[in-house]
Amino acid sequence: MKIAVCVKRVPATDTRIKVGGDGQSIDTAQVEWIVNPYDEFALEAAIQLREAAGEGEVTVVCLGPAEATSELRKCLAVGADKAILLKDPEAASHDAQVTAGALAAAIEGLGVDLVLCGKLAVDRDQGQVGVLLAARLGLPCVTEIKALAVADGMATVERSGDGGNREKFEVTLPAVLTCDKGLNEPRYASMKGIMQAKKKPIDEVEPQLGSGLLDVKSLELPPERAAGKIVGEGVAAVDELVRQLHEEAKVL
Amino acid sequence: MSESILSDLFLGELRSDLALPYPVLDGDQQELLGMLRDSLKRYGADHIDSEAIDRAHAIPEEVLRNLGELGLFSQIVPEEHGGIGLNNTQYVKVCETLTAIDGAVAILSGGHSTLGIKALLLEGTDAQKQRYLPRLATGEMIAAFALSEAGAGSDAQALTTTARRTESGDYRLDGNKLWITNGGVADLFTVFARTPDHPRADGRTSISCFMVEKSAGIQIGPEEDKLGIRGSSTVPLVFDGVPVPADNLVGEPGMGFKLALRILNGGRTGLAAGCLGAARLLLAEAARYTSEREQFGQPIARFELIQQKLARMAHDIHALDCMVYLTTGAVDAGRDVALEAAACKVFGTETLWAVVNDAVQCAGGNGFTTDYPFERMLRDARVNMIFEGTNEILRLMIARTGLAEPGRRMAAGVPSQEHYGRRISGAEAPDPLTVPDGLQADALALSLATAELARASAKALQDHGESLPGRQLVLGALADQSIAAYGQAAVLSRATAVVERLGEEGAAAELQLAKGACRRLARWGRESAASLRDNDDEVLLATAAAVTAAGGMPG
Repeated sequence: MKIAVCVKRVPATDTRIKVGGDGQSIDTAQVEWIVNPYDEFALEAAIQLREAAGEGEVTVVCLGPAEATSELRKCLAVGADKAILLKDPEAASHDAQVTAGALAAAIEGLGVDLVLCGKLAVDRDQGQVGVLLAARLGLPCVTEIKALAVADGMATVERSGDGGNREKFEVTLPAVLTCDKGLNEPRYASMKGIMQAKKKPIDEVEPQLGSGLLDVKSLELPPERAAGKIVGEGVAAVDELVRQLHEEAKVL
Repeated sequence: MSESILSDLFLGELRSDLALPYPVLDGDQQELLGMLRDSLKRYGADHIDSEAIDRAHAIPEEVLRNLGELGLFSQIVPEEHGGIGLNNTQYVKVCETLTAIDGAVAILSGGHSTLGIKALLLEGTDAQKQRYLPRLATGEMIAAFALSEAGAGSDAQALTTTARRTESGDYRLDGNKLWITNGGVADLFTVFARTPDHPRADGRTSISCFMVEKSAGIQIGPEEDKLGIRGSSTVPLVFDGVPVPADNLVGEPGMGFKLALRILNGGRTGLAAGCLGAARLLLAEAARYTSEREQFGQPIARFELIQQKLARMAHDIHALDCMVYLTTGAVDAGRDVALEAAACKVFGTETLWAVVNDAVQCAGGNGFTTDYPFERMLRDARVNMIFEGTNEILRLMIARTGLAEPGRRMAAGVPSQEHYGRRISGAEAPDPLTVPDGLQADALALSLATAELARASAKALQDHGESLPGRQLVLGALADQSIAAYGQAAVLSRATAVVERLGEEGAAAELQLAKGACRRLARWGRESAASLRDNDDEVLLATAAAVTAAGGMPG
């Protein structure tokens, strides 16, 4: 079973984001980078499928700058077999169309049975690439899956629908699935994995970049949150709390 | 000229060639380190419960096994023997990470890598390495270092455990060891013992180093009930005719004590980095607590006496950070850093103690309860000033070693007008380090501190002559001056590198910390220097004698 996993290099989730001088991108000077956490669920799922099948190959594909080899190396240390870096110093500035196009072009020739993505990347939070990628590849797509099983060329997946409904789908492979938290517990890179990762290949490829449809005009940080409010203590405060949530905060 | 920044400070020399540029890891080294640290941190956050380890006085076996898989025990084992082969900087960065995960885990790791397996790595034969290192790398065998005895603590050379040769050429070990870190969980012990059957040509006590398997018959004593790092194993060992094959003698027979010192001298940066990791965590906890805790209608972080603590912690932590990794960079460049590592250990352990004290104070009554991590970290921090060379012994070592060359030159009567002479008499300060504009004044302060140390050293040699090695108060003050100056050099070096990389504007945070750190260190150095001129040493020593004579409060 051949599986492609799309991964993105994103700022660590505890980064204090600063807007860059251009007002359209973030200041990356002091940023620590990580593999997008949702992509880790996708990678773990791929590795588990390969392990269960006892054969196969997991290829991680990333559109990113040269520095993204660090994140790809991490994926290899966790258990991916090989990595493809679609090297582009401007990777962070593309819209989802361009990203999906570049990924599709790279994945098309791989002949994979399954493409796994995170449900979104925690930097832009848009969740578009997986779906657009499926469209480009002409494959079925299920988003935000929380369970996955593969047998006889079919994937059985579950996702949370509206109102907490559990939706179950059967999808013919190949397909594109985007992965949500709860799908699995991503493993840590073991020493063995880290040492083996040194020897696994990272292919650097020139990406096929189309033209984008969206431009970022400006970025700004959200206003500072106002201080919390203590309405009172114990049961006596419940009525007032409900009233304020209803009338002032308007969340009820 | 020596290869040691710190030692040359006593000569009034500021070794910009050794202090600059600040060493950094290359991309591949950083990447490997990042993966290992990431795994350990995530595993720690998900599966290591420091409170439970502290209460249970043990690290769960499953945690040990999992940490082994993540590479905890293989860090400095070379690749060809199944390890990761980290260099010193990488290894020490992991030490820093580990204390922030759990104090006892950090001690376990250090007892294994810094101490337990080091003799094999440094002087083991290929066969010895092949026999043990692969199993030590996976954690199938955990190692411990057995040097201390009841009568041989700081004076380790006074050890009495003895290895006698048998007719077959093997050895039998008899004696007792004490305070053996990892002793209760270890399978392989690096044991130092007297070897009267290998007399030394110079007539000094013959001590040799042996790798001894627990299964050979070492009796493991009961766990010590300790103030802190309660999850770390500390036990006495009894050797009652334990057989050791001749093949398990490591290094040159009779030269084991030198090897022990080499191991200890080389390992102290790991402990210092451990203090750094714990101190960082404490500062983060204190910063959070003081922002959330409100009194008089505002967060207590708005009050100056709290701000003083937060800043003091940050400045000292920054200084320690710069010192530790300047030192590990020197190790990786192949230099002997016994003095610098000792300086890191002294400054690091005392910084952590001050930081934990400030952090507990910031947290008020809550800091005193087990609901918060402060009290456990306070207990865990205390031992650092005691083990791996007490801070007293290390201060003496730094000063005595640093004074050796000035003393030699003085005895040889090198005319005072010669280069060293002007410097050593303090008449000429060395050229300041080349640093960014904002730190010129601090570079000058270091230059003056260096001249002052040389002057004070010369004066101490003249005033006390042969009795100087016993004048511990003088030596302590000189050691403090040199540690402070080394710290200043490290901070300036790092700031210079960061400004080069990010520009003055981008390096604003670094420069702020550098300034604060340099000033604190410079003040400490000046105070130490002043204490040599203006002190109460005589009355202090007289009172101490009276206390000893009276068995407590005199009179």
